[in-house]
Amino acid sequence: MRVETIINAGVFEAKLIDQMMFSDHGAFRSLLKDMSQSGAKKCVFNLAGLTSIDSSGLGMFMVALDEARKGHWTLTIKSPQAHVKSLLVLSRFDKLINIEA
Amino acid sequence: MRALRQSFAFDARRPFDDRAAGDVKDARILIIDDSVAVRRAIDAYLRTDGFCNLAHARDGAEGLQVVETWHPDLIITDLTMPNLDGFELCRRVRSDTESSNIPILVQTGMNKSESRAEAFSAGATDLITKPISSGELLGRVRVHLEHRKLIERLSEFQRHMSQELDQARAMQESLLPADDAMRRLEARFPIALASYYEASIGLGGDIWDVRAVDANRLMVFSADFSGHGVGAALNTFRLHSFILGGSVPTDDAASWLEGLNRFLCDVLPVGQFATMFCGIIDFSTSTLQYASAAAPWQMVRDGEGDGGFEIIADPGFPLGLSREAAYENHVRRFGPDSVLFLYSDALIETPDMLNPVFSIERLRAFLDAHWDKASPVAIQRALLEELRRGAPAKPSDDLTIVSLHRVRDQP
Repeated sequence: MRVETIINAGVFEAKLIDQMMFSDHGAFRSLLKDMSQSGAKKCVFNLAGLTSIDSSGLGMFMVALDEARKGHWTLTIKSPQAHVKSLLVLSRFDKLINIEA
Repeated sequence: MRALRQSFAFDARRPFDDRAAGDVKDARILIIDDSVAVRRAIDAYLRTDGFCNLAHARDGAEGLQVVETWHPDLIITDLTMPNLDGFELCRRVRSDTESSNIPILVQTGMNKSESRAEAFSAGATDLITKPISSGELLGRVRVHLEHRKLIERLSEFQRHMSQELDQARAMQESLLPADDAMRRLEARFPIALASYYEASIGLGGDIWDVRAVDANRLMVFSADFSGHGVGAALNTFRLHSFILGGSVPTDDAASWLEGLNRFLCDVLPVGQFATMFCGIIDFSTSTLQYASAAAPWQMVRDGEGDGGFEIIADPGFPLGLSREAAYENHVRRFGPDSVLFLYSDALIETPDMLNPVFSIERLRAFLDAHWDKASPVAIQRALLEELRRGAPAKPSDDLTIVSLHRVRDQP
């Protein structure tokens, strides 16, 4: 997984690119730390470039949601594509996390 | 190495404690030189520094005998010697698997780079320039002994972990239905069961089971915990123990998932969850009631329909994410010749998610093409052969395949 981050007008946006898997746990935790410390009130995971995700990847979004609740910031998942989108729908993540097309 | 002595023994309490590598003074060191004066000088340097397990040999031939009988931890040798020179000694030590890892320090007065390269090529670990200085000799001896000790400790730790993982994998496989238990169910109900389970390289989070609900009903489920490794495997034990406790009635698929979900919400840390499919077959009404907690798209074939497999695609919360999650029952016909085909996502994500050997549609086509031509066991074998042809490496996640075929003949 590659990560590109942009902070603009109080919004921390992280573009997650390629594949998100078990081995990306460390990088994702580090990203969450950056998000929390940035002071941003809204954080967005842009998944337009994410081609696939496994179950541990979905679990990472739950960890992010937990961090958001504790840190009083909002979390949005944006532009999931194909395989990733179908897994989010299958798992009903749209009921837990705000997902934008 | 034939035997690990106490100083190099593995300590499971501190497998990576490199401070332990500093304690090398009881290592066995073999000094090979045809000059008595040089052997004595090296011996004296080493003893002054606290090394006490020292042996001498006058040439390469005698040195090889000592290597074979005394198993030194390090060899210091001259190159030019009668009978067998240092180059040949290095080659022979390296060619014997029992001694191939012993560090060899070669004393050399040769300054030509070709000659030094020849010594390394023969198997020397390091060179000590003549005339030997005490400081250089002791420094190199310590470095190579510590290095050897760390490598041995790491190797022993890997062996230890490998044994532990083998044992854990066997324990995890014992959670799955045994062959005799499946044969007993086949004798009691009009079914033919076939299953396959393959743990990933380490441990994984798959678990499945089939059990009688009552005289007319059978429950089958398949679950997959998120992630891999020890954590996911321990979660399968948690779930198995909870199910064995019987605190959730097994006569309704959705209620059963809700009961398991509440339990897993209590015990799983944030970020961990399980996907699960649960089906209850009622032979008296020829129906299959099922509910899904984000399980991959399972397959079912209606024996009285057109004979093709259908994909069951019902969204649902994975277990362990939300205490309020509700699950929905679905009911469909499951008469004679019907088939329920369950699998974990490794089947449709190998070798990777984007280019799997079996996409869901390819899997369905494969089952359609083969089902009427062979037994469920033979079909699973053919499926696995196809998978191996396209992805020879071991799957990176647990692979579970279960097929339950309702046969026509009543027991």
